[in-house]
Amino acid sequence: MEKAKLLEFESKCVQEEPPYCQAACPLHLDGRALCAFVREGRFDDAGKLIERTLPLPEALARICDAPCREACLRHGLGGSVELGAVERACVEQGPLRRAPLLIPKNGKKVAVIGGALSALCAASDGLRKGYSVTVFCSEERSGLLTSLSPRITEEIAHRELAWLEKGGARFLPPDALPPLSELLGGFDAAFAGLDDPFAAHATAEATRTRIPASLETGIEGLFAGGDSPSFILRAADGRRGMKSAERFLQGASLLSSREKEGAYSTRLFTSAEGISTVKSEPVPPEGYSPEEAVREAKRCILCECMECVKHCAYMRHYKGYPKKFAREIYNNLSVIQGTRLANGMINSCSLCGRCERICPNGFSMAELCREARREMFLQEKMPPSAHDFALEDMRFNNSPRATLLRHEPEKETSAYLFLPGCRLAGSCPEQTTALYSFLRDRLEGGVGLWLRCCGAPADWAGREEELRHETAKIAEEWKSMGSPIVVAACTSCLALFRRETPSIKTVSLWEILDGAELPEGFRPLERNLAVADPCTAAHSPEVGAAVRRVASRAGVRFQEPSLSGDLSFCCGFGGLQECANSTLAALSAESRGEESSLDFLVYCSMCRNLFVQAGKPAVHLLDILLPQGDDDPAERPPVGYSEQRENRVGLVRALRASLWKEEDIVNEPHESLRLVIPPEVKKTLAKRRILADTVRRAIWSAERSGRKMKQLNGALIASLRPASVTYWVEYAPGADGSFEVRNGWSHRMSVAGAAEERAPDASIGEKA
Amino acid sequence: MKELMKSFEKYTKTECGACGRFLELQKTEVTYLGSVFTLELPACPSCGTVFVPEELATGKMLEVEKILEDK
Repeated sequence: MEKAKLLEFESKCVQEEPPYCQAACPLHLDGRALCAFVREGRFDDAGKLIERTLPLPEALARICDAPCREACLRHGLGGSVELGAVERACVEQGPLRRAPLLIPKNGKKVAVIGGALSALCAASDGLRKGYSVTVFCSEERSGLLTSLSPRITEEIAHRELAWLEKGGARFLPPDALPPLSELLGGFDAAFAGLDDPFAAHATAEATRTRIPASLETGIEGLFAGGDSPSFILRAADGRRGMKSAERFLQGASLLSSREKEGAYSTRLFTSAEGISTVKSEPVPPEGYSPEEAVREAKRCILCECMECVKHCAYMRHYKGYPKKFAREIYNNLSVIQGTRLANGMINSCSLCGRCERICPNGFSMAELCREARREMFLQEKMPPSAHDFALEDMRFNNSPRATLLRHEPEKETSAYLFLPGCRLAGSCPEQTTALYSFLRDRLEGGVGLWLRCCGAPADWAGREEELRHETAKIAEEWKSMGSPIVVAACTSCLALFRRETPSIKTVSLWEILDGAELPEGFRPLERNLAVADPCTAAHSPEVGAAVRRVASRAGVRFQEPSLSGDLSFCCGFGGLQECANSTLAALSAESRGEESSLDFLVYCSMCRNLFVQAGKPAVHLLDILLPQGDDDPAERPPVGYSEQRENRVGLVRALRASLWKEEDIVNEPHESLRLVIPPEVKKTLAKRRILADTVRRAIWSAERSGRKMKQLNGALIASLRPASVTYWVEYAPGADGSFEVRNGWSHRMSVAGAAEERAPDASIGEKA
Repeated sequence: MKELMKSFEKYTKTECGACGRFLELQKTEVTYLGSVFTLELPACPSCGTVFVPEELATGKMLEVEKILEDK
């Protein structure tokens, strides 16, 4: 990834932007951090923050006129946080522990004219910059501070002045000030604090015209300010003037990029939604007690954005926000030697795109992760275990045994082409068959059938070339059917078709159902349900609307969960999250389940599988429209990958035989093997992603070749390495010719002598 | 790891189905993503067929696979 691209991504995320109060403060005191300390009673830490930020901390914290109040998000929610009073309470706890100035002098000499607030602030900043600072002011130095407010006592004024002196500031009387024309001969730069009448008088001619952004005066190298009625603005002028002196001494531009020196508007976004009104703590004349300050600080909203992170199981799991993730991903892609720490994070995003839809600037984690995955694949740095299983499944789903492309029986043309998608065909083969029959009845002009995968796994895995390959085949197959309208049941297929092959006319199955008479025998449930939209329907609101109309017509009583439509998250299947990080996928499904206490009504098979696996009862709308059996459809168990694969093959076989009267596909020899898999073993195999078909192949191969291990307890062990994974299966032959599967495990490492790379075929049988 | 390897001795009671001989611990080369390791694994002394026990495959081996995948 190019650095510019990173910056482009980063600039969209505002989470790290300063809070409203800090941006509005001319000295940029972080009120959010201050309140975070104070609400926990950490006055020492709050004091350190004040000391680090303000030039004359003990004085300014007592007299700050808090312009931040105007910007505070609490403004309309009980009144702005009384930050000025909170600040004051922090310094009233006792003298601040002032860190000694350990900055080496850099040889530059700066004159400060005047001894009032702005001048002393400029002097303080000058010392921090390593300048030798000489202050020309009245010998009654503390008077100009104590006269500002009775809160600044003689003692406080002395502490501030003592700190400046300790830091190296030299104080000289007014009559020591050389004529202005000569001043810049003895000093490298100068600042005049006009809130001291002496300074105003001494520089009256030169300061008649000033440039507000730099405080430049008529004399080059002399800057002046501090004549505002606001104390904090006077202090800010001192800071700005010394900043100008610094630029002047560096030969840098005095005007460029200074927009954020004073008060400015932050880009931060904080939603006030759900924040209740809390009245502000009244400020007594003597100021807050520590307890009152704590109570007031607790009113601070601690403004931050985190809009996209709220509710997102993925971002919460990786404990961050998009800007931080973008940096981590950029660093991950730049690793030449070392560990790529963000691989898991990159591959775990479900690519649902919800963050982009709700972000005020449209930050898309999906775009970022998709780009990173593409780059990792091209760099040959994609962990093979992340997506192999899903890609192999996709390839199987596009192999002759799992695909079908036919015109309607006894028709030679198709006005429509029904694309159920792999997940519906694998999870609900009966409903798929019934749907196809329904569509043939309702639609004119011939309805063809297209069983194949749309290529989404390749897209999600960042395999552009493989996606292009599938897309080209899809276009070719579609044209071969006379370019009919594709009726897609799955919203992922629909979204991918519309993005990758926009010339293909598509319509959602749910829109067709919406415009048709419903199937006879639909059976609504007695209870209320909550509609859970799939994340891939977010860009097709018409589909969600059609589903709701169909459900209503079918007598389904439903409500909306807390997040629906374009606010929907992924169930955990999308973007191959479940393949790369099954633990997180379960959390995603659980998190969505919490959006409603009602059982879900879904229209995506994978959503249903994931929800049910996570313990959230979910009913597929097709189970209501085309019920199979009398059981409650929420009770139907999730359909695992092994079963889905078998169901797809079975569906192709059954449809070919029943509708097109075609000859049965010849079984592969291992398919005749009968397996008995106890439920707990089934769970282990599913968790380890070992398909029943693989188990069957391994046992078949071991039994035919004799290449197996025999354990003391009589159990046998078979192994097989069909491609890049070696599978081990523990089994025992049953008396009836079946095989009881007892365990299974796998590894990706290649072990010399463990299992040769082979897939069983008829020849193995011949060898035996 | 040493303890794990030592525990593999229990597999010397496992028999090679093809040769009928008990497995013996043998130095075996294991490779992944260009990295090569040598492990003592149960193997048939006659045909050399190696057995990878479940506890190795789902434990240390998986751990190392993940580390190498992130390199």
